[in-house]
Parts: sequence; structure tokens; C-alpha cells
Amino acid sequence: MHASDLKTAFKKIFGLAFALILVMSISGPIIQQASGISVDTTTARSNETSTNNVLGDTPTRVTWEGVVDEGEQVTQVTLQMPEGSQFTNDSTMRPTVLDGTRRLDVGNTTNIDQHNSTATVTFDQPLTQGQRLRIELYRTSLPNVDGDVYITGSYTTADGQTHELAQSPGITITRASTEERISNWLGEQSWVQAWNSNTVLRLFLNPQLVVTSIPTVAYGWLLSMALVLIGFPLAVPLGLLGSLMKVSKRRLFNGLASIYTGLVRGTPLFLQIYIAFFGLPLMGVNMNQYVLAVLVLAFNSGAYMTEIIRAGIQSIPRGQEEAARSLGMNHFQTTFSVIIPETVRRIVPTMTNEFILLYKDTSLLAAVGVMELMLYSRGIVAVTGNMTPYMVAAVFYLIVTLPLTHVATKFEKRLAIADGNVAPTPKKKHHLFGKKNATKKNDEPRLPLGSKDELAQDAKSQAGKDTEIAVEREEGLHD
Amino acid sequence: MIRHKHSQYDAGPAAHPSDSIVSIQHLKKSFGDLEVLRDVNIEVKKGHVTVVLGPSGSGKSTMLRCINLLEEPSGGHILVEGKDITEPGINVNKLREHVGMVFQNFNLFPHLTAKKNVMLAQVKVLKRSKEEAEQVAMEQLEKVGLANRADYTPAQLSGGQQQRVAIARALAMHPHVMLFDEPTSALDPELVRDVLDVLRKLADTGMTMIVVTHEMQFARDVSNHVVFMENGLVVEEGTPSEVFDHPKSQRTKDFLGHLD
Ligand SMILES: Nc1ncnc2c1ncn2[C@@H]1O[C@H](COP(=O)(O)OP(=O)(O)O)[C@@H](O)[C@H]1O
Ligand SMILES: [Mg+2]
Repeated sequence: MHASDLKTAFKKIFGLAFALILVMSISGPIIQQASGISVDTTTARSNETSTNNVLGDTPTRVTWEGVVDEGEQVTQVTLQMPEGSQFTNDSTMRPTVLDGTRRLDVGNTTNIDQHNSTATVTFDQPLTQGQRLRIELYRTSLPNVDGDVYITGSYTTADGQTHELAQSPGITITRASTEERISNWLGEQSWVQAWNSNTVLRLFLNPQLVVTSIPTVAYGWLLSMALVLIGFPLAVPLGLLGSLMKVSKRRLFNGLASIYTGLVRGTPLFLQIYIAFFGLPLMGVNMNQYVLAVLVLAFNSGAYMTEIIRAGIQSIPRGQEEAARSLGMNHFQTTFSVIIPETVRRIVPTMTNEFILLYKDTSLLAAVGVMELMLYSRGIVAVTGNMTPYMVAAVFYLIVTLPLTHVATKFEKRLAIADGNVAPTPKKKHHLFGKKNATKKNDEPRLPLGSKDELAQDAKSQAGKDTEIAVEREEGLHD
Repeated sequence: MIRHKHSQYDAGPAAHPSDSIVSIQHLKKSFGDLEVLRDVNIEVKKGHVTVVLGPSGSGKSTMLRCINLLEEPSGGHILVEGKDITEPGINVNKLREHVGMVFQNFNLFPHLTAKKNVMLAQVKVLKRSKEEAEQVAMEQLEKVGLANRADYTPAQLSGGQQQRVAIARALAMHPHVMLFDEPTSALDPELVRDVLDVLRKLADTGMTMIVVTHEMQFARDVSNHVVFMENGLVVEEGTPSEVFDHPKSQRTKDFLGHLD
């Protein structure tokens, strides 16, 4: 997606504000040179909530105006709506006769022909020169096209002759999207009207807004997903490197990794985003905001992963490394063939949770104008003054987080079973951790992931007093 | 209390490091202030089974772990096949290829099947091809009676089976010496025998073995040499009948009596 596209999208959303004021889209008056009646105005009121467009196939109010020419007397005017227009039983028309700014009370009868899409007004007394006729057609739908449509028709003069009306100025129509049409359809349903008559329901779960905001919010959702789907994998090598530095015996590596995790985990992501987005441009570093967003997310998540992987590595019983080393494997082989694969198995649940957290954290990028799920929904909220888009956004967060939470829990259970630590009910726990002089050691679990105390306790009860020291041991293997 | 401060090998020309495959000389090991091994001298002859006895905390594991440098000796010398492994610049990984070790807690790799456990170091360290490693793995699993469990993961195996896989894993490297650190202590009593049978068979093949164990019957039956350690010192050593039937030290008597 190009930045310019984004800008337009951004503008589009803030352009919505104007729609709220319910301005008519006015095409400049063009006097049609014709005999009888000069048609100078045809407009349709915007019927879209998010822009000031006139949507096709959607009820709107059409206004038509013409002025009776010199020496003419008009008794009847028939407006022919463009092909594809629709009148319904709800459609009404209201003629108004004006002399200058003064409204004249001229008796009339009106008739709407649904079949032919015509609207006719017949006056008791003819309209005379200079009088302005305004016809408003309520709840009529214009064809669902992109472009200009024109109202034609005819008029009858006092002498009984009928003439064609001059072509009106065009009305620009925007083709209504599916969701707009669904929304409009919903708006006419009585249950929706009943639903919306409840203030809370209308403000938080307006069915029409649910429908119309889904495409925009879904687009934001895709962007948020893209951010986390790129940011998360980028963070993994960072976390791996950090964790290996942390468990390293070298002071320098250890120190650097500690500074990294300390700073990143000790400050809010919000602050880090601000520093990156406002600080880098100050230093003359300018980059695409999505690239920067991904980098900040990865940098942040990498610190958390460092700790997750470090904890995973340290939860691997020391015997694993000793077994590998005693077979002649070097440090590198041991790390990558034994320790890391075992760690991966153990950290899958925690890493899944980290993914969930990072996904939710993409919302913080809204603060610096990175268009994502949060900002897109906020855009619609700003225009409509309705909370519904936020509810839709919530659903879009939940469709990712809930299943993943479920998956993480499943992984945790599977891991517990693989470790022989099935369903750690309090009773079982007591059995596992309370038995100090266990004789049946072989069916006890290997070190499960857990608090340090649990690990230590378990290791002790499992290995007996001989290897109790293994837990206190600080020194590493000697090369 | 401790009557034999030094083993008989110190004193006289009885020590012939040349016919010893492992020669431990004045080995010392401290953890900080804690002196765990004070002066340990043990000679292990090629093809012999040496059993190490002693109360918990006497330094048996530490002594064993020094032989493959899982612990770094603080003093003294250890000669393995004539080479002083306490010298700086020794290739630890090379040494460990020749010195197999079996742990009390098996320490199988839980993410790998039994077969893959036995294959891993062959491929990584000895650079054997996958096929060759697999073939050797199956041979070794066959020897410990677990060929039919080759594709099981450790979690699916009993403790005794896990320990036998661990033995197969060490043997697959074709070591010259095998170290066993209480290989049956973590097992249910009914599973001990299978593991001891494997050890017996291994001894019959002429493998040099150093076994820390509390299994007295096994020690009597299988070993050529028995070493009794206490407080970081070898208190007494000799043939099984010397140590078991005519113990010289009171500590040994107490220990053996305590066990019976
Ligand atoms: N890495 C270590 N750090 C500190 N103390 C240790 C370490 N390893 C062993 N020890 C201590 O050394 C002593 C002997 O331990 P060990 O060799 O395991 O004895 P054994 O195997 O005979 O029971 C014990 O007191 C133990 O606490
Ligand atoms: Mg021990």
C-alpha cells in the first residue's frame, strides 16, 4: 500500500465529518436555454453516513427547480426520473411555488407513478412568468451507477400543449457498495428501528454501522495482522540471540543483553514508539512508518522473547547438557541440537501468549498515526459519534486472541502430559513435590516449567540428596 | 578414624600407570571452600570392572565426573590411555568420545525417540552418515533388548528402559571406558535387574567400566576391583573378597554392615 493511498484513506475518513452536517451536494446552477421552464437546479441529498456522496439504489431526497419563462403559463409538470430510479409506497413529493423569496399558495394535486418512475404535479391555477417551482421528492432511489444522471420530463401550458422539459443539470451518483445497501436495507427494517430506539444498543451496537464499518475495520485488521506477522518473526532471532547472550558466561554478552531487556521491558512500548517515531526523524532518519512500526514491535518483543527463551533454556535440566557434552558434543552442537529444540517445545505456550500481547500492542501505533485496526475504527467513531466501530474492532481483536489463547492452553496441557505432569491438581502437586524420599523416582516428571522454587523443589525430590547440589550449582561445564 | 590416608598404590611400585587405562593420581577437587576430593588415587586396568562404593556425599560422583572433565580437577593428574587430561590444551570433546558416561537420571533427550537419542552424537560428533548411525543405533538397542522400542520417546519408556537406552547411546560411540554413576539408583526395584543384566553382559565383553553403585551383589559378582571412598578419600580398596569379606577399615565395616 502506498503512502499516498493511505493519505487519501485518511482524508476520506476525516471528510466524513462534513457528511454529518448533511450538506446538499450542489452543482452550480446552469440556466438551460429552453422555452417554457428553465430548469436550474437538480440535486440529491447525500444519503451516505460516511461521506457526502449520493449513493445509488438508496433512498434520498431529490430536489428539482425550474423558473417559468417569459409569457408562459404552466399548469402541469411531470418529472421523469432517470432509468433505474425507484419510487416506493413511501415516496412522496412536495411542490413549492416561489415568487422571489415569497412562497405562493397554489392549489395542486400530485401523483407519483411508480411503474414509469414519474412524478406529476397539476396546479389549480397556472404558474406565470418568473415564478419558481421547486419539487422535492422524498424517499426516492436513484440508479446504482457511478456518474451523472439527469431528470427529464414534460410540462403542460395553459393552452393544453405539452412540451419536453429541458434536460436538468446532472446529479452525481456513487455506486452503493454491498454493505451500504445492506445497511440501508437494515435501516428500513422494523426490528432494527426498534433496536436502535434503545440508546445503549444504538450507540454501541448499531446494526447498520456494524455492517458499514466492517470493510474499513477489516482492512485495519489486515494491517495489524501484517504488522504482527512480520514483527513477531523478526523478534524471534533477536530473542534467541539475547537469550544465548544472557545464559552466556561472558560478562560482556551478558551485560549487553541485560541492558537490552532492562531498558525495553522497563519502559512502556508507548514511549518506545514515540521515541522511534519522533526521535528518528529529528536525526534525519526517515523511513516508511510501517517499516518503522515493524522494527519497533520487533525490538520490543525481542526483549520479552529474550527472557522467555532464557527461562526456557534454564528450565532444561542441567543433566541434558551434561549428557550431550559427555557424548563429545561441543557447546554449539549441544546448544542447537539439544537445548534449543527442547526449549522450543517448552516455550511454545509462552510464545503464543507473547504473540497475543504483541498483536494487541499494535494498537499503540495509532498514537503516532500508523493506520491499523484501532485507528481505522477510531476514524469511523470520530465521524459517526457512535461506539459501534469500536465494538467491531473488539471482535476483530478477539477473533485472533481467543483461538490463540485456547491453542496456548492446549499446548500447555500437552507439554504437561509429555512431562508426565498431568493435570496438576493440588493433590497431585502435593504428591509430586512433597515426596522427599521418593523411591519410585522413574515415574516422576522431569523438571516442568514453573516457578524457580517449584523447579528446585522438584529437582530435589526427584534426584534425591545426591544430586541436590545440581540445583545450587552455579559453575558451568568446563571445556 | 580414617586409617588409610593413602591407597596402597601411592606407596610402592605397585602402581603401573602403563597397564592402567585410567590412572587417577592425587586428584583434588574443591567447590569454593568445600574440599570434595582431597587426595584420590585409583588405578583402573583395561578390561576391568571397578566398583566405587561409599556413603552419599563422599565424592564418588565428583571423582567420576572429573574423569571426563564434566568437573575440572583442582589438583593432581588423571591419565586416560596414557594421556594426562589435566594438562591445559587437552581436547575435551575428543576425550569424551572415548569415555562414555551413564547418569543416575538417564538424561535422555526428551524431544528425540530412543533411536534418535542413540544416533545424535554419532552424526554430530563422529560424523557418521545417517544410515550408518541408524544401523549402529539399532545394533546397540538390540544389545540392551530395546530394538522394539526404537521409535518410542523417553516419556513412553519406563525408567529401566530409559536407562538401557542411555547405555546404548553411550556405547554407540564405541568408548574405551564406561563410567556409570549409580545407574540403578533412580529405578523401581523390579526394574533394576534388567539394567544390571546389561551391565553384566557389557562386562563380559571386556569393556573397561567404573561403576558407582550400591548394588553389593553386583559388585561382588562382576567387579575385579572395589574402591571404598569416604570424605573425598579412598579409604580402602582391593578385590571384592578383600573388601567385602575382610575389610580392614572400621569405616568400611560400618558401611557394609549398615547396608546388610
Ligand atoms: N558443583 C558443585 N558445587 C558445590 N558442591 C558440590 C558440587 N558437586 C558436588 N558438590 C558437593 O560435593 C560433595 C560430594 O558430592 P558427590 O560427588 O555428588 O558425592 P557422592 O556422589 O559420593 O554422593 C557433596 O557434599 C556435594 O554437596
Ligand atoms: Mg553421586
